[in-house]
Amino acid sequence: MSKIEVLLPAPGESVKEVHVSRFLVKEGDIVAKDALLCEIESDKATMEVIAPSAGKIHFKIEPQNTYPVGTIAVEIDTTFQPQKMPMEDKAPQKEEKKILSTEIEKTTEKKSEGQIRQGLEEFLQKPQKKEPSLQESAPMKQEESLTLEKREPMSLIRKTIAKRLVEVKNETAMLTTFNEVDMSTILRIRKEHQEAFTKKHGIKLGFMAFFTKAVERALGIYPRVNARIDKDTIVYPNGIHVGIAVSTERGLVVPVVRHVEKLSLAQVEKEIASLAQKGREGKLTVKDFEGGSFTITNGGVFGSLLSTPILNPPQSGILGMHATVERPVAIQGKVEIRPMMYIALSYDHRIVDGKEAVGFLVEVKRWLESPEIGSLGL
Amino acid sequence: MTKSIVIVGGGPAGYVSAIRASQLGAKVTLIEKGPTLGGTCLNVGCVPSKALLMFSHYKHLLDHEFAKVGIDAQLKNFDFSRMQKEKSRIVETLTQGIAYLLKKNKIRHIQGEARFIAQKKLEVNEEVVEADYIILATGSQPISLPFFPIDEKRVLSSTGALALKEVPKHLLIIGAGVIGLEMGSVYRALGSKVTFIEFFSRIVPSFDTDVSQTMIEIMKERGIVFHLQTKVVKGSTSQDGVELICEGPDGQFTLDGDYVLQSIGRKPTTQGLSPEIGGIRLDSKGYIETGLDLQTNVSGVYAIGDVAVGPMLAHKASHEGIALVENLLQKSTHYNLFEVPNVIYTHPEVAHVGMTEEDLKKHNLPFKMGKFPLKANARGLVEGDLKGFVKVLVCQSTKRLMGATVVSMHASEMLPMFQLAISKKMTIDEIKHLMIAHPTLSEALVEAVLNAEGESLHF
Repeated sequence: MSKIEVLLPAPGESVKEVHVSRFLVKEGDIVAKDALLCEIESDKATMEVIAPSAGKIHFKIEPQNTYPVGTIAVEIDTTFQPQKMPMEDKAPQKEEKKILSTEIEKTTEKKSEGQIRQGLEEFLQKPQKKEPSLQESAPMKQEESLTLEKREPMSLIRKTIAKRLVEVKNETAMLTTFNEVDMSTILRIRKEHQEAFTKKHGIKLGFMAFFTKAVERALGIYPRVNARIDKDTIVYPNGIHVGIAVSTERGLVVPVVRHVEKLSLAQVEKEIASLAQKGREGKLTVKDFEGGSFTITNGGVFGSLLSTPILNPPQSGILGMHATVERPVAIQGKVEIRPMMYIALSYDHRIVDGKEAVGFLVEVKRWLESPEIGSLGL
Repeated sequence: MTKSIVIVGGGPAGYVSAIRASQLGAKVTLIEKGPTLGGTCLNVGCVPSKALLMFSHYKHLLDHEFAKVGIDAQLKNFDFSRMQKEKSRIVETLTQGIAYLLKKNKIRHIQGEARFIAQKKLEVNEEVVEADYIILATGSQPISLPFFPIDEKRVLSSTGALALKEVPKHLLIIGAGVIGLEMGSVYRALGSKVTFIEFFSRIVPSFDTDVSQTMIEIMKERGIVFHLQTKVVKGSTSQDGVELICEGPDGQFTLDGDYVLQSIGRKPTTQGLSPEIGGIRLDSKGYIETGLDLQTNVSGVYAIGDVAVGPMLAHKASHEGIALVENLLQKSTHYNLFEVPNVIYTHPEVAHVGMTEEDLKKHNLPFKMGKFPLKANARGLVEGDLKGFVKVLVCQSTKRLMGATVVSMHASEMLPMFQLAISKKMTIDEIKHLMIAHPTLSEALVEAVLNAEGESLHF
């Protein structure tokens, strides 16, 4: 009998222990490789523990308990192999159907018009979900129908988010400054080079890399926006590590692109694409969240025109991007229609002065409107 | 335009579809060769056997159960003929009820044997009958061992076993299927010695193994003897008895009794109908061949019930008939063969719907099982159902209820909840919060569902 031990992984940065929220299979079940075994939560993320190989499951943990990361969660006895998946998930093979031997199957093998007698295939079909509306079938007055308030317990993640957001408000001197960017240049560059870029790098040229590079420049000029407070000292990190807020099915996660200053724009774009992919697949690891020194969040993807982002502690700055909309703007005494985006910087006023914060946003704006200033050393 | 329909056979398939067709506006003629309506089910099947099961159970209670609670009663007199008479009275009431229903629905009832004289043309009592649609519902009849024909004197079919004038001293039963088990229960309760000879290694093999196991235990406790994996190689009769030579795992042996019941199956009835003249094709087993639309190879001619393939059960027959005439006259209706319930009406009863464990295994459908014993249920204890249980089979990945079995007093009455869930393809999450009255046997239904989730409350 060969056994494989599955350890509890860490679902987030510097996570020491995890909460096992529920089992997704039962003790003694025989599962396929990559089956989801149980769900674990930390204050950063939820994730599923995945079976590294097929076999019979023996749990070493209990649901609704908290364990240190690395605890043996499951023992998989690989001498057991699962049976094939049910037909519901997969249409039966033609050959397979021929071996069916019971009377029912024989008598329902040949499909015909106006079929009355049904068998295996129809039995295994998915139910047709049709929720009859009450109004339709039996008229019922609104006040007669019972509607109860719905209550559900907060998940561990939600509770932690709530706690931390309030802490940030209480423990930092956070405020926000705004500016606006004429996006014409970036849009033009994207349009002009999209095809060549995609061809060469295998990914589309988005906005995030431009903003990340713009932020890199501004942070270089105003290093305290990149720094953090640790008790009575100011800590300057060893590089520019930009966290990118990515919306996934289970909430917002902020994987980090490390050492942006050492990467080309294309490399940044690639890095972001790969992190976003991992995020959607729930495959981000602790390493991906570690050591961010600044964060970019893009409310624009949801249509936000203007917002005040909240700091991601212990960082001291966060840039908010927003939707690009065409607006009339005055340019050299004339009104012109330009694609405009408001940008916002929320910063910790304890270490970043107003002048620096405003200067930071102006630098971001300058770079985005004339990216060539970087190459020209201006 | 009014459609005309001729139905051959007045059993549960024929008379029910006649009523439904008439309701839907068709002009209906029903031809039945027997003197009464209702077919095998009403005259020599489901109904009389249920009457005898009930009445004989009274005697079982008197002989074995009443004394347990301090009611010491003495059997003064047992007149089997009165029991039979009461059974016949019930059958008669019901068959007359059908005649009334036909009249009420303005269905023409012809008593006589119909036969094809040409394609889509029948003759009965020298009258030629034609219609837009002809529905054949001629039913089935018992089969016997080829070397040992049924004479209904000493060698009985279920028909003869239901009509005995005396309680056998020793009843031999070939075939421990549903019919055999029911008749064996009746006569054992009435005092016969009962011995089964079964070819398979377990009784009622169409049910799950644990059902066979439980039922054989219960039957053995009542003193019924079983010879499994045994076949009858020779049978002979005399004036007052029968002798069987059997071959079992331990070699040949002889069984003597005063009657033998052959309950080894039934075959479709088509003789007298001359299907070959009507151009109707039969399959190798004698069933009328139909498509899934129940139409025979001759357009406009259909077959339903026992004479068409599928389980030979009255409710399947009626349902098939209703679905057919609704399809012909109104709208499309269908039924699924996996949704046909299957019941043994012994005490306790066994009721099953959906897939068996064997079905699920054969089709590689990973499932989990939930089981709840009736001895953990208040009503089960009161009713004395100490060996009964409820079992559910649940699809591993979708949690859909795939099959359910109830072994209990009144199991047939408890099954419909599961039937509804299965036909609506419900998951056990949709069933498990159903509030069942307490105390009832039906609480065990939900407990079994909970057990599949490891959440049984009382076990």
